[in-house]
Amino acid sequence: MREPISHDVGPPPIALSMDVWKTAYIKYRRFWTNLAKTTHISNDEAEDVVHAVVSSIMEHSPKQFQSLEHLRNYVAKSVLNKAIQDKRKRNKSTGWSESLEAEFSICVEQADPALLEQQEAFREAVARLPERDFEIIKLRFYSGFRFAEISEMLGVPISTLKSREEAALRRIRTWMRRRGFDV
Amino acid sequence: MTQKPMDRTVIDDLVTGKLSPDESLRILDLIEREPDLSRELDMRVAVMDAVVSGRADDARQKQAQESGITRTIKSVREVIASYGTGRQLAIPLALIGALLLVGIGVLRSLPLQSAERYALLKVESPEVDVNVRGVGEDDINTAHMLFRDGKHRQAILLLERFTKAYPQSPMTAYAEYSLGAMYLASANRRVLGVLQWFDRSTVEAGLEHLAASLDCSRSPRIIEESHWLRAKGLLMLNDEVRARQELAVVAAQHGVRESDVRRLEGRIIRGE
Repeated sequence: MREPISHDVGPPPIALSMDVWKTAYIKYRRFWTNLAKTTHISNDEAEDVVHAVVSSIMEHSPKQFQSLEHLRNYVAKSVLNKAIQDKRKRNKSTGWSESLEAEFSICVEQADPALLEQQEAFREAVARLPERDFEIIKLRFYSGFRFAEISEMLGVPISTLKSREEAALRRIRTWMRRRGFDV
Repeated sequence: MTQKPMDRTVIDDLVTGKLSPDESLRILDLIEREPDLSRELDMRVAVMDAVVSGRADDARQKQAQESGITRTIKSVREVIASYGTGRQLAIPLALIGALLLVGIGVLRSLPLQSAERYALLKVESPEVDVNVRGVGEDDINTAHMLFRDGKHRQAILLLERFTKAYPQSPMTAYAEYSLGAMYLASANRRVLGVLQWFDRSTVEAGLEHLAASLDCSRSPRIIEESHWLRAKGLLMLNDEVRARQELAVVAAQHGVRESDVRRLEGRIIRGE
């Protein structure tokens, strides 16, 4: 008797419940907003683009997503394309629909406790970095300086800065994994 | 032919929105194909979130307050470990001592200010400090925040980046004024509590930015402040003639600085 042909094509798609959307929004909204701002629009306009895209995907897209990362990338590309499109047509995005605005406005309080725990752990991991590594991380991820600019500021070669940043991220990752987070 | 692995620091730029839209799309495509890169992206997004939310700073302060003695001992150990043993410290310490002696000699040749004049002229921070909204708002608002945190060089660099990127922006006049004020505030020099002067090149840079602000500003407040700070800057350089001209413009505005002008003229220019 022949073995049945396996039709296993990978992990099952994630169910796009409101909770999953809220988790994704909490985790990635800054990232998505920063992407929209690459088209030289203001913070408010960028947020409107993100909200419009998320609304649209929630309401209209039949697409299935294999993971949160898959959803992250899909929204990221959609945000970029919409921001570019809006800029060309000089149209502004209108943001959330009213019902979604209400739903997402108290997002953080209703977030998945596991996500909040992970975010708290990340903050602690970053806070534990040695001063000079913390400064580099802040300059890169908060102020958004390029390595060339930080090098001029601190008088440290770019290659050294890159090594320190990599070491800092490794340290954060190790600390998180020791606490049971898969990063 | 194997492809060169992607420099992961590009992912930082993606996360912080520093790439162009097309480059962002290209990197996202690469990330989609590579699970490792996807995890790197997630990691950096989480780090950015931790830093931007300010909670990492709070956690850091909390750590600093807890078990102070333990952390002090640990910090000292870290410093010694990074600089080597006590024997190795001797050479840098000797060099520092020598430099100090040379420095004192240099200081003697500087245009030192009297305590009163220094206190009257020094600029602490931009007087006009408002939350702006518009394209590039993050750079301006962040620069002011960095300046308040004592990170003067970073604040200045951020504003200079803004003025280069958006020379025609409605916020450029405010950015140039802020730069002028920050440069003047960074010009203060004080050693051992008794030797005080203003660094010439820093003051001159500040004056240039204030002039640029006046070229494009329509706000009466910014115009008044820019002239006022130019007057102070010129006095820092002992250029009383041009300082008087600036003060005359400020006085003519009949704005908030009117009484300050009279006081400054009385105390410094007329030598009362």
